[in-house]
This record gives sequence, structure tokens and C-alpha cells, in this order.
Amino acid sequence: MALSGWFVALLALGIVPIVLTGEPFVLTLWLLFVIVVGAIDLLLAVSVRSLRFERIAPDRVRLGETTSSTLRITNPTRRRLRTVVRDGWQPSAGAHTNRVPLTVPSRERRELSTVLTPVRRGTREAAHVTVRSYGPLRLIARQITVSVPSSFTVLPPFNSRKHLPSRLARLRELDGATSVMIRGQGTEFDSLRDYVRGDDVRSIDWRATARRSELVVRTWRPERDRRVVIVVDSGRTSAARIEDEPRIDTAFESALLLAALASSAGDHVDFMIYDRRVRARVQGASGPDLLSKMVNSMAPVQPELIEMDWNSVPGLVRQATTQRALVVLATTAESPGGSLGLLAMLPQLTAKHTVVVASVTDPSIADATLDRSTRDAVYLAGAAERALLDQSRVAAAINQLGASVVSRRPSELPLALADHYIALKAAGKL
Amino acid sequence: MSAAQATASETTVLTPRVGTTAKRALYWVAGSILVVLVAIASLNLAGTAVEGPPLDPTSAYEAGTQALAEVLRDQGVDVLVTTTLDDTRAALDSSDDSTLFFTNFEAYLSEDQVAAATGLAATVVFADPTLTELLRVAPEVAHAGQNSDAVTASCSAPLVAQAPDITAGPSNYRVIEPSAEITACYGNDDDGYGLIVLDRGDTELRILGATDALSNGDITAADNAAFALRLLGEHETLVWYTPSFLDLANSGDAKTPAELAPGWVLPGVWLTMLTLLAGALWRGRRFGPLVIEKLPVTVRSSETMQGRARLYERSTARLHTLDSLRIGTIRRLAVLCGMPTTASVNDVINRVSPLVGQPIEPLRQLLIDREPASDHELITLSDELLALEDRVHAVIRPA
Repeated sequence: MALSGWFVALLALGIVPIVLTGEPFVLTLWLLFVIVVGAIDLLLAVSVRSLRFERIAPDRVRLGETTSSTLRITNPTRRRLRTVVRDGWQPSAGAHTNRVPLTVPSRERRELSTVLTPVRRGTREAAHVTVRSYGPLRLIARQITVSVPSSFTVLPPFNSRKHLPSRLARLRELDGATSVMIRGQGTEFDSLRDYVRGDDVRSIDWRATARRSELVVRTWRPERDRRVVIVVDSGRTSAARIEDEPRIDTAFESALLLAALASSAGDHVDFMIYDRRVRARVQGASGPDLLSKMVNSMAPVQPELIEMDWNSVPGLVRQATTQRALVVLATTAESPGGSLGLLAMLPQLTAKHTVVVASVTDPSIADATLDRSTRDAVYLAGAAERALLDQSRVAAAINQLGASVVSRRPSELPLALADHYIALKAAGKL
Repeated sequence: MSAAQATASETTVLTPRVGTTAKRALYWVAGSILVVLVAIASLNLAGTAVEGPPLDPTSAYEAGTQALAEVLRDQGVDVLVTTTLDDTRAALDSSDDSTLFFTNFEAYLSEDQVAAATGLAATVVFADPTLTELLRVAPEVAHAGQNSDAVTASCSAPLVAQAPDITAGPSNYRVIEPSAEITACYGNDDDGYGLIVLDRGDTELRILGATDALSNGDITAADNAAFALRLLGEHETLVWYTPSFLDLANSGDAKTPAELAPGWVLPGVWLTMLTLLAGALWRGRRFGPLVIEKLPVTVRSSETMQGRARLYERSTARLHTLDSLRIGTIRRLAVLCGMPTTASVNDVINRVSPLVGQPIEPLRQLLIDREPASDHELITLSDELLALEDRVHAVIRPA
């Protein structure tokens, strides 16, 4: 049962007869009147227990996009249902309107659409529906909460897909399809074609030219069918927020862009999220299927507050491929102490694979080194310089072990990693 | 990306039926009623009032005077207890040979009423009068403060002959204008007297300060009983007048605020309170339970850095802080000058010195040797480092 504002107003209206008559017993009469009218109104309200509910939730949506869920309310009674409905979605599901007035005529069904703009990745759930059924006078309502569970998946946003066309164009430039020639030890011989002006004279195939009357050049294309293994660290350091984005989300963005790029360049991508157990793994998928599988596997993963177990990573990579591969470790390489496990494990990987460590750096550290305005700021600047020094020491150690480091701020890391991949591909180092 | 999908979800009603709620609440309601009942019972058993009204002839408490009244009745005195001035008048009219005992410490009577009461009987005992009442009924007598010692008779009136020692207090009175009509007993001129008898012709007014002597608690002490019986048992009838609030109503035309306000005010206030209650219920009723959501952990990435800064600051590690700043500056200068980040400080100084047109020694001092003795020096040095970087930057990459 719930009172409405009208009930309170009706009760307050009693002041008029009380003042006009000046008799104390009018108060009792008025209270009786209000109670009787309220009781009649309550009796005339549709019984909420007879209502039937059905919810149609979206299946999945990308973070940042808007979707809608539909709630069907059936009124099987003979009376008209006047109600206010609350569709109980989790706060981060981002329901725009929470309380919707609705009228359902007798023995009819109405649909109620809730617009949702989720604000967080993962599985967003709706627990229940709460309904207030008012009587014809809207004084007192019957209220009920019905559990109507449903949920939908919010996928990582993949904002960096806007960079995909430009990087794909760069990839095509590497390909022999264009007139730009790339020569390198890792590129493969593709075909012969006629010489056009501007081609590198060193690529003229004199033997073929001798057979024909025109100049013939060899074309090359980048290697294909290489393996790319992406390992995302979901340990405690990935929970840290930098520029209002957890490290793990930046790692997902980078992994998605790299996977999209690599799969269109003809490479095979294996993807896994790991801390002390495999949280998600995508293997043997290619094309559009790969990205869809990757976002689905990423969606529910949140960082765990445990230390990353680097010792098992070489084994995982071995499970994924026995060939030489590009291994991308999306993790944090900030302090010598925190990176000990990573540094100890790296030689096992670099012995066989090309290893890239992708790390998010905090731009606020670099900003802090420049602020020397107050005493506190100077000490903070000193600490920030020390942090930068630590970062560069870790990066130097990683480089010494034969791996390379890509560390950028969150907005730049996906692109930097993609460029690094293209550079490796161009140099034939895969 | 957002394919709709009908969920054939199980719908279960979460809100319990009214009957279920009532059954659940029954235990608590019954429990609270039980607690209230036990509280009331224990309060009644323990008793709230430890003292009854003083000088009340129907009260058996320590301050009451039931013992005295009963003994007087046994002695054949007709003790009448009245609570209004009118009743008192009527009681006194029915008998000529009577004593009036009254007191006004609850201040129910106005001064006029007190003055009227003092002339009603042949013997009037006025217990514990106040300063203003004395001014009106006996200006020759004044209040002399509190006294609680035992006192002796100190006068030769027949009234006190059998009771040389009584319990004094709480009040004492003093005679300002001595005359033949005034007899003061139980006390002395310094401290005042417990009893002052004024002969007013047809009325004998006895101003009694030593009322403790009459109380149930003290009546058996010293010669209190003899004194009390002589004081009040002289005549056939004793009218024991305890003024009550009924005297107030007759006393004047003053009205309470409730009488002055129009009739609708009280019900209006009640209606306002009920409206506020209904408003609280209206706004306070929850629209269904909260939806639970597990929040991800939030770890700020710069916490280590800030912790380290506070550590430096607390231990005033100035040199350490400055060295960190110097290392940063040297690395950036090396990069600016096209040297490897691993270049030694001396190489960097040698390279920078001609660029900024500064001799090597002050640069060495700034980048290596000087030690900050105070925070102020630390800030100055850090500013100089920034300025050096800016100058080198301006030379190498002019805007």
C-alpha cells in the first residue's frame, strides 16, 4: 500500500471545514471521511497480484551505445489499471526514465519501453518490476514488486576502430598490390609485373626482362599466415584507472585494434586474458568472427586483486602455437619491483618469439614533474621524476632481454601498438 | 549490435501478502506490548511518588500529618478537611468553637483570600506564610529565614507550657514592632521564632514557622506531640484547610491561552500533524527495493607516487628529491642535445655549457654539487633546473 500526494492534499483540505465551523468534532468527521474515501479507492484499485509481466531485454550492446528493453504488462482483470511502473535495472545499465505512468484497459496488454545507455562493461541485470496500482481517485495505491530477471551483455566499446581504415591503408601500401615496393629480408616473393616509372631499379628482374622485350620487376608482399598471440594481464595492476579508464580497458582496445589489423593482414590471432587462471581465450577464429568472439569473451572480465602469475605464460603461448609468433603482453611495466616476474619470464619467450610489452603510462606523472610551484609540488615532482626513472629502467631491462616496449597514455596506446605491428611487419620481423 | 531477445523469465512475486506481513509483525508487536506492560507494572510496584504533599492531614508519608489528625480525632476534636475557601467558610459557620489551620505554600490563594481566611475563626493557625502574605496580614512580623535546629520554648504562654523543646524549621519569623499583643516563642531575637501569636481581639492569629514539628516523621520527637495537640486541639472543631486549584478558578478572570484561542486551533494543529505524518508516509514509501550491483575496484594509479612524495616530505629528504629532479633534467637535456640517455653528466654539462653561454662550474654546481639546506633552497634549485631546460630548449628548437 502506498499513499499518494492527492491523499495528503485531501487530508490537508480538512482545515477548511474545521476553521469555518470552529467545532473540534469536525476533525473526527473529516478523518472518518478521508479514511472511508481512501478505503473505497483502495478497494477499487486493480489487484496487482493478478497482473502478468514479461520483459524483452536486448542481447548485447556496445558500451556507449543506446538500446532499449521492453516490458509487457497484461491486465487480465475487468477493471482499468492506472499505474506507475518502475523497471528495476541496475544503476549502471543507465535507464533514462525510472518511473513511468501507464494505463492498461481491462483485459489488454501494453508495452513499456525503457531506454538504456549502459555506463559499464559486463553483464547488466534487471532484478524486478515494481508496480503501483491506483484507484480511480488516485488516493491510495496497491504496490507490489515482482521478480522478472533478465540481463544483457555490454561489450567493450572498441573506440579505436575509427583508426582501422587508415592503418589498413598502411598495410595495403606494404602489399605488392601498390606500386610502392618494400624490400626486406622477411618479405616474400609474390609475382612479376611490368616496370612502371618510379619503381626501384634494384627490383628489376633481369632474367625475366631478357625473356621479354619489356622491363619486368619482381613484386614482394609482406609475409602472411604469421601468428600473433595477445596476452592481457587481468591482475591487480590492471585495475588502476588512468585518465578515467581502467588499464584493462585500454588493453582490450589495443588488443581489438591489433587483432582487426592482423586478421586482415592474413595473420592468425590468438587472444587470452590471464591472471592466475585463464579468464578468457579465443583461438582459431578469423575474420569478423574473431572480433565478435573477442568482444564477447572480454565483456564480463574485470581485474582481480591478485598478482599476475607470469611463470605460466610461456606454457600458454606454447599451447597456442609452436611456431614463431609475435607475442603481445598487455600489462604494466612501471616499477622494477612489480615487474620482477615479467622480467624473469621474458627470456623464455624472447628465445623463440618476437615479444612486445604494451604498457599504459600515466600522463599525470609527466605533468607532475613540471609543477614546481609549492613546496609540496616540488616533493611530488621529485617523486614523479623517480617514477619516470623507474619506468625507463624497466623499459631498458625489457629491451635488454630482447623484447620491445610500447608505452603510451591510454588514448594513444592502441594506435601506437598498431603502428609497432605495421613496422614489424614492414621490417619482416614476424 | 543490439539484437533483441525475448526472455522467458520466471516471474515471482517478491512482496509478501498482507497476512504474511501481519504474522511476521505479530511477534514484534506482541513483544513490544509485553515490554510496555512490564514497564508500567514495575513502575507501579516501585512507586513513583516518594513524598506526598507536606502538611496534608490525609497523607501517611513522612511530610504528611495524618498521625496528628488521627490523634486529634481520638481526643474528641472534630477534624474537618477542606480544600476550598467556600467550604472552609461553610465548615466554620456551622460551629462557633473552632480552630482554622491553613497554609498557602502552593500559592493557590491570592493575598485577598489569605487575608479573608485569617479572620474566619477564633483561632487561626497560618503555617509558613511568605514575605508578601505577612505584609498583608501581619505587618508587625517579618520572615527571618530558614532554621532547622531544635529550639526551646523561651516564652511563658500557656500554649507552650507542656512543650519546652520542639523541632524547629523550616521557617522562622521575627517581630519588627513588639507590643503587648504579640507573643513570640521557640527561638530568640537573633534567629527569629518558630511561633508568633498575635492577639487581634476576637481572633488569635498564630503564625507557625516550625511546621516540621507537626509532620508524621517528627511528631514523636522531643515535645512535638504535646505542642501540636495544644496548638490545634484547643477548640471542639478543627478545620484543616488545604487550598487547591479550585480556589484559583474563583480567584480572578485570567484565562489560559487555550481558552483565548478560537475553537478550531486545537483540531487544526491535530490535522496539521496528521497531514505531516501522511506526507512522510507518502514521500517515505519506497518504490520497490534497491537493485544490487557489484562495483569494480577503483585503484588510482598515482598512489605510489603520491605516497613516495609524502615520504620524502615527512623525512625532509631534500637532497634525494633534488637528485631525482636533477636526473630527470639531465636525461631530458641529453635527449635534447641528441645524446643517448645513458650519457654521463659531465658529457651533458660540456655540451650544454656553450649552448646556454654559461661556464661549466656553475652548471656543475647546479646539476651535481649544491646541497639544499632548506626547503626554500630546494624550490629555488628546482626552478633553476626548469629554467636551464627552457633555455636549452629555446636554443636548440627555437619556436
